[in-house]
Amino acid sequence: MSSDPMTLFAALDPAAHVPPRDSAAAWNDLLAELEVDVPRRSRRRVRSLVAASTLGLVGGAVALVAGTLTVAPLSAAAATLQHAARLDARAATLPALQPGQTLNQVESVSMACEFSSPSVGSAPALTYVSAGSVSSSTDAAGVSSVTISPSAVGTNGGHFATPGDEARWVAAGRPFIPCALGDGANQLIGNAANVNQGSSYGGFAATVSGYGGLGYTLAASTTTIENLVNRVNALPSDPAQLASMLAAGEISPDGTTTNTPHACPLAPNAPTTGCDATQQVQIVAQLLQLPDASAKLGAALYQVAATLPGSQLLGTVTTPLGVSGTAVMVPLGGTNETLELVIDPATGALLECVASAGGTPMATVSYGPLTVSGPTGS
Amino acid sequence: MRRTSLRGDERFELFFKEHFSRVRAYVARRVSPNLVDDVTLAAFVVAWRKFDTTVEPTLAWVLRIASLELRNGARRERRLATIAPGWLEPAAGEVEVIDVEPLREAFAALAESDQEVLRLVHWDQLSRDEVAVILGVSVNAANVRYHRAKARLESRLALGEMLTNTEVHQ
Repeated sequence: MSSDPMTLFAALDPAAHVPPRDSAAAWNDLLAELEVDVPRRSRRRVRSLVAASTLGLVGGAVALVAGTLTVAPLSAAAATLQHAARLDARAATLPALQPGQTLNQVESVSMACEFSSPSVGSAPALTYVSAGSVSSSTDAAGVSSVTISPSAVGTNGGHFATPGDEARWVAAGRPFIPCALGDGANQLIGNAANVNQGSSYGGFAATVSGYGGLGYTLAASTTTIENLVNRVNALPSDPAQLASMLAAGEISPDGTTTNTPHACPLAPNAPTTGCDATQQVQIVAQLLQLPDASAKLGAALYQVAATLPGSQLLGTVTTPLGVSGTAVMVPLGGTNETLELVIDPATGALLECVASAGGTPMATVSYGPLTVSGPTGS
Repeated sequence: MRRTSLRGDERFELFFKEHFSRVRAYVARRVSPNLVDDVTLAAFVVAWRKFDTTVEPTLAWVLRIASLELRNGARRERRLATIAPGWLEPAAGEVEVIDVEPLREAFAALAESDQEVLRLVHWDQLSRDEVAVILGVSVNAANVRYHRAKARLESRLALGEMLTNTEVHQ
């Protein structure tokens, strides 16, 4: 045995401790899982590619760091996002409210998520589509409270993508479903033991494979979903300020903020201060997937997204809730992930957000028409 | 064109059976044991979707897909194993007479990018061309990364030995 360090290093290979597995048996596993997997992964709508764009020279998120966006010809996708930003900012202008009055808004929401847990077993993940509503109430001081009310499992149109998924979920002991969140006691529906306890759900480790957005955020937090959305409302709506805070590492993917620059929340143990360009894009992606509770924040994030290289205009699509809008796909630099935003061309409202990895949709949140009532109260 | 059925797809089946063991070993070096099969099959699911549109599917190609699966999982679930101390033990019957602790410490002290290129070369037994594909860099850059990482590992080992000797002599 040589004592050459690299020979010794090679001998430390941890794979030597893993029992071998027959490839023919593994192939059968893959076949069995894809028998269920194939039909439910097909997209629910048809779209056509209208125009591909390259914003590569803009410098995207790098320019974000410097706070000086390079002037470059806008792509169709970027122009769409900027137009949406203007419309969304206009929509954020609330009517004058008197003290004691509130403005109330409500919209239906559909959330589709892929998830797994140790008890679910090997891939593929399960897919659940949850129906619910988002409602908000804003007072004269501009303070909003927002509530997301997902439906209980199997109610209000909520369903598993396939009967096979449902059967596997039941067999696994009804583990946590990221997009079919709680009742009034913040208890995750489907298993009485599944109380949100940070990264552990009733004994199920939070292994939410490939799921961005709500599942990720809640897995990293003990907050209720209501508090989560209030955090988003508290973020700056000024794009320059938002970009500055992102670069300084002051904004976490769940919307929490700090007042001083520190290590990027995505790499809290890093010796450097602030988030690099890729990390900023990843945080923006997470924030974009949060409920569109604040039109002002939506406008700021659209402007940020418009600077990202490689965005594509996908054309007009209809969401599962029957609402049509303009779809823009934004690639997340340095990863195989994309974020697809469907925007109401008339109002700038976010109609749907689809997070995909490797071309496969992982999480979809669709928003229905917004109903506004009020002002109400004295 | 979207693929609709895996059953009867002989070309992909051959590809799967040829590379399954090495992809699984690659994953096993980077995640805890209970996730190895999940992540490996997930990587092949993605590979299957892209198979027809890929000019030349290779081991390096599917390993890059697996690396992206691991990276996504790590970011969202923090499941990427920092190699647990129990994992970094010598394989049975090979190096038991040598104290591997300094090497283990020196490796753990390296940046993740250095650790990864060393894993790819010495554990995954990949060529520089394959390493370059997985890391998404040029072959030349892969070479430079490897040699720098190796030098840093050896340097840390030497530093550790020097400090140990200093302690002994004090």
